[in-house]
Amino acid sequence: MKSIRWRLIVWLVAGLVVLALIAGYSLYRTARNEASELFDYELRTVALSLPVTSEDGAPTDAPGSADWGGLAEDRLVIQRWDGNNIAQYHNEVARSMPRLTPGFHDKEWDETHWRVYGIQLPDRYVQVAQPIAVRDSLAVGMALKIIAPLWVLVPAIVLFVLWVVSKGLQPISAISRSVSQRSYESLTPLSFDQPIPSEIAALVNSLNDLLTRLDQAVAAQRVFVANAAHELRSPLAALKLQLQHANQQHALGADSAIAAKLEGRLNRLIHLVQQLLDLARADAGQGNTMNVIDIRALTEQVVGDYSFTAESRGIDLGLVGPDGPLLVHGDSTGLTMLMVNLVDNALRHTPDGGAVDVRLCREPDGVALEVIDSGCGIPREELEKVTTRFYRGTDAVGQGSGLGLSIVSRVAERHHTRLTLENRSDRTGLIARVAHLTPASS
Amino acid sequence: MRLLLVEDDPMIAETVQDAMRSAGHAVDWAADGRAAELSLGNAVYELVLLDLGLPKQDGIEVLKRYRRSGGTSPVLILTARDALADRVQGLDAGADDYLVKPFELDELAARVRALGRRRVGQAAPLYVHGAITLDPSAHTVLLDGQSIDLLPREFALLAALMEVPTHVFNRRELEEKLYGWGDEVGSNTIEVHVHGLRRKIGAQRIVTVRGVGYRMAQAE
Repeated sequence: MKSIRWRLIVWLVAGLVVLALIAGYSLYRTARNEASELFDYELRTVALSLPVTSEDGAPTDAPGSADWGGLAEDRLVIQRWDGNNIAQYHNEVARSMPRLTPGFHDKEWDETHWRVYGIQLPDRYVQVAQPIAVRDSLAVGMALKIIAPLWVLVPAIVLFVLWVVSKGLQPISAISRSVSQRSYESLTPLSFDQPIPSEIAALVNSLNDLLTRLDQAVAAQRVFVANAAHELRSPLAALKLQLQHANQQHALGADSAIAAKLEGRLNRLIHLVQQLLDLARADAGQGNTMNVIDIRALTEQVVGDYSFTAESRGIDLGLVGPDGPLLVHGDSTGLTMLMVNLVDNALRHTPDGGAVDVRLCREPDGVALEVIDSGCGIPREELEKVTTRFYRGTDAVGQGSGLGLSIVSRVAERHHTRLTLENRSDRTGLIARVAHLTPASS
Repeated sequence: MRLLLVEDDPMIAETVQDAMRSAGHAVDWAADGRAAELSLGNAVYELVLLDLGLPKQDGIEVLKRYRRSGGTSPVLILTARDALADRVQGLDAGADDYLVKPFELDELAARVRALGRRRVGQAAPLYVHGAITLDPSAHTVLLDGQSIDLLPREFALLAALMEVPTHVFNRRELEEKLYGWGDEVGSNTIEVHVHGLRRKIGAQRIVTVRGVGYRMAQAE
């Protein structure tokens, strides 16, 4: 039983039932005591007031005779002995009941428990007996009559308990709702409009404390990655120049194939470091003031930059979209990184002589950017995974770092949208799409 | 040729100096903006290699002051890939070309050669790109040493493209270069001129960047 709600409900209802049983039992006990006293009194009264109806000593057995009518219901057994100890009986069963000493007795006789009262009067001895079951059934009846309304109340009590429990648990539900609705990247402390009950305030406080520390740790890590990448960039660029220079001077003493390989590896390292830096910046969102920017101009620059790579590989790289400025609210550094990574990716995965389209569209719900390549696409089962950091497709070609698409995703998230990937339906190739960029008017 | 290299990272500066020296140039090195200003004030350089992220004084600021004080030498900007805005600012402030870091040494050498042909002291610089040499003052174009005839608008178009051979010019930029204020420009005029120019110098020498514009093909 995991839920506090169910635990509370079960315990409360079970507790109420047990309490009702205990109450019933004690009511029964009290009622029985009261009944005992009453019946004892009745026995005594009957014994004392038994008239001397016949002096002939004949037993008066007729149940309904004379004034005894009311006594039959109470199953009274009356015996009488005259002064000479000759027994005179009042009903049949009484014939075999022995004579006891005066006073009250509990006596088992003829498989029945009896309450017996005997009294020695001047001219006779009278003994009155009654089955104890009579008083028991009266007590049970009384107890049941008092308890009955309680059983009717049980459903009402269950409903009430349900209501109280959900009402009491409301702050907890509110907190778990608010935690579950948070985006995974948000590490800001929880805050609530309503005052938090003291019982969970401690929990919320420690959670907030944890979030704050986590936030600091994550921020420190991002700063570290950004700094490391930034510091690595210059030496790597210098190394590359040095290598090229040495190669030009034939100072390496190695054949040119080895030198080319070295440079290829170095370029990959430089690319990786640049992407790490981009990712750290995208994560930190540093310098990310949202401005009105012309995404067409920005795209033209990126496409222009990559047109050299495209030209040397015979790839037809082009921009498709409406003429003239296309203004959106955005962070130009972030969107540049986004575009650079999408175009870079598309070119990497497009064979020489292929085509890459960068498409800008004005849509009813914002500006959409698409990069469409003519590569081999991504297998359906990998589409979800490729935005994971350092994930490289199982049949990945080229020298990707596996960071490009996560950079794109991060930037897209900061622009309140996301990256969607789908394979082309008309031929092989991939469509990378970032839609819903907020349009701006100049 | 005498060059000034303005670069704050000694590792890069050292290699670039070595490479430029082995290419036969004399190189001075300024490690920050102030040193760059001093050097530019004291000596005449035929080419300036300017890194934009400089300590003490911003590279753009150095460039602006240099141009304001009458400096005419070509300036080649070295900039990081993620600083797109700097590049635009640099061109606006009077830079002649740019290279995105990390660049290839061959590429740098080629740009230096091309820019260096715009000699200081000449009335107008000479643009050289691959087999094409364009002299703006004499209004002549040589292709593989052979003079070719261009219409005035075609000449202006080629001059614009050769001015910054790494830049992709969009239609609006080219219209601004080719036409004065108030000129009526037909919707496909630029395409017509590009077509005419390509017929005369060879179609492969001008690259169409689909949806963006035109630029010079990479020099062979």
